[in-house]
Amino acid sequence: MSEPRLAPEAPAPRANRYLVIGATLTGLTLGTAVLGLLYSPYAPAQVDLLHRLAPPGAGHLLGTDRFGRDVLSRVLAGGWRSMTLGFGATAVGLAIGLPIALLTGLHRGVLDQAVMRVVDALLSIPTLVFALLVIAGLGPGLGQAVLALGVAAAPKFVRIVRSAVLDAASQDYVTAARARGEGALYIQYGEILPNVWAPVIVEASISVGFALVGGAALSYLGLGTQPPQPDWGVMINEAQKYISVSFWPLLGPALAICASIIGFNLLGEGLRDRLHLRRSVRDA
Amino acid sequence: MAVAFVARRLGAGLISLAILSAIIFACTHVLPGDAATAILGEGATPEALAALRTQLGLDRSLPAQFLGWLGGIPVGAFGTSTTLNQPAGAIIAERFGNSLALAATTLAVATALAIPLGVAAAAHRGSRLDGSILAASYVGIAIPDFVVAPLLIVFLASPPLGFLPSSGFVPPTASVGGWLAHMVLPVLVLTSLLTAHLLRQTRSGMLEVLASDYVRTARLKGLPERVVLWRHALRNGLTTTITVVALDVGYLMGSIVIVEEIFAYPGLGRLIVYAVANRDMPLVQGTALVIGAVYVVANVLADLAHAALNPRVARP
Repeated sequence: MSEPRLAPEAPAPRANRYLVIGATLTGLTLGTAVLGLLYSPYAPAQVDLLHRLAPPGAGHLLGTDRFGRDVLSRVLAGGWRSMTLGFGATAVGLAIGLPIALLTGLHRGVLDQAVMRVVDALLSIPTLVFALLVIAGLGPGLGQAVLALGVAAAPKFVRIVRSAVLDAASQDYVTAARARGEGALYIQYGEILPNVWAPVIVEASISVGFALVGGAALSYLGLGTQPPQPDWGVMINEAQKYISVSFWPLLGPALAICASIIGFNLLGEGLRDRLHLRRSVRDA
Repeated sequence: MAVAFVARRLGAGLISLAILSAIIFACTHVLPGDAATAILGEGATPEALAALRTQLGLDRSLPAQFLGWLGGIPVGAFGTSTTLNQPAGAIIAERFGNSLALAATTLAVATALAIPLGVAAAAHRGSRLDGSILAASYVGIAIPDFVVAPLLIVFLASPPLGFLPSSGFVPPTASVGGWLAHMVLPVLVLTSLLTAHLLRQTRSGMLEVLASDYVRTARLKGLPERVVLWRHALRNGLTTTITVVALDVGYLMGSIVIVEEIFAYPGLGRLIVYAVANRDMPLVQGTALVIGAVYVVANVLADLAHAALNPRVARP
């Protein structure tokens, strides 16, 4: 019979490991996107019909796609679009979610209840389907995809930030600010916001990873970045069509996407452990 | 189980659906873009546009349009698809069956895999077994479905050792074997994601239960570890798992969109992508609402099951 082990694992080393791996992968993928703005070995749209679907080699480190375009160059050149989807959608989600969470978490009542009902209803459709709904109205494109994913991410931000605001709202410094006669806006943005930044940063980091994948999914479906412009989702879609002929065009964009989601996720998890935050049931 | 509890949960589910339908309607109407222009193109004459708007009921006020749409839903009328010229309800019903087959198989396989693995990982917390189960599940979560799917196609559906169809669909009425063969790859992709997610939740649910007083009592009175784990702890661990399975139905419905598109499988996911790309609003609305309804129904059922396993939940 094995001895039951109930002692909690020491959080510090694990948190550090997550943080280090997460920060490294995040740095690598961000570096790829930035480098792509400055340099690529070939022009990303340069067609070379003599070297179509070439395996990785000296001339093309990640091989070529079905038009003979250099995969590495396209991974580099498409990086900023994928990053724009991840960071842009998170920024839009925060811009919508933060004010709502601060307002409803601090002034509980009919408005708060109504907003939470709507948030619950919105959480019942998958993020991707919600984003598709918005795209149905706005039409396909990179900017539209950023907006759609941001709107779709907002309910989760409201949920998570609001519960942090609820904890903060009962603290003495809020009572003190009220007693001093401070305005509602000052209490929300001057007192509460600086005290809930930790869960916001953690959630934002994890959200960038998910939005990156969501963005790649929209591009994959032909509703985000429009070909011939490259981004990692578009490249995976193009590679999949010829997958039975050659596996190599898939490798570059697939590695880039996986590295970014693992990176941003571990970064968020590591920060969460480091900052000693509780995790929600949803993401145990 | 208390009747009042059942009524309350059903009522809450209906309210969620009503709010959801209003939001879906708003998303597809308040945002710029006009169905008549989308159908006839930018070069259409104003008279033709006006005639089509009248025919589609777009000349009515928004609340009137919303109520008209809402009124049809209980009888399965979602309007007429603007690109296929068929009742949207009939198209959705047919695709819904196909998606349900995928989702139900995936849920069954994933639950059957995830519960034993999650319990084993929790029982041997910190061991090498736990470590490898957790690492494998992390990989399962981290690799997106649109990367897993092409990899599986390479290994299981491409010339050297491939024996499965790489995409498409055969109705069960034509060939049961063909129908099943076309479901294998989509189910594999969906299962890998869902199992990974579910087993992490089962593990953390079980860890919580294993740390509780009554489990310690069971151990102290000398029950074999097997009985403690599978009889005493799992019953409470399961209540968390049921809730989590229901929450994961949402996750599954999201993945289904991508997976059906990859494997050209004619279900709700592929339908909504088609509808969005072609701006077929009645189809977009209907499909989104049905996908949301699946999640709401799953969660109401989970609450009822939860109450059946643990009657304290149902008490006011």
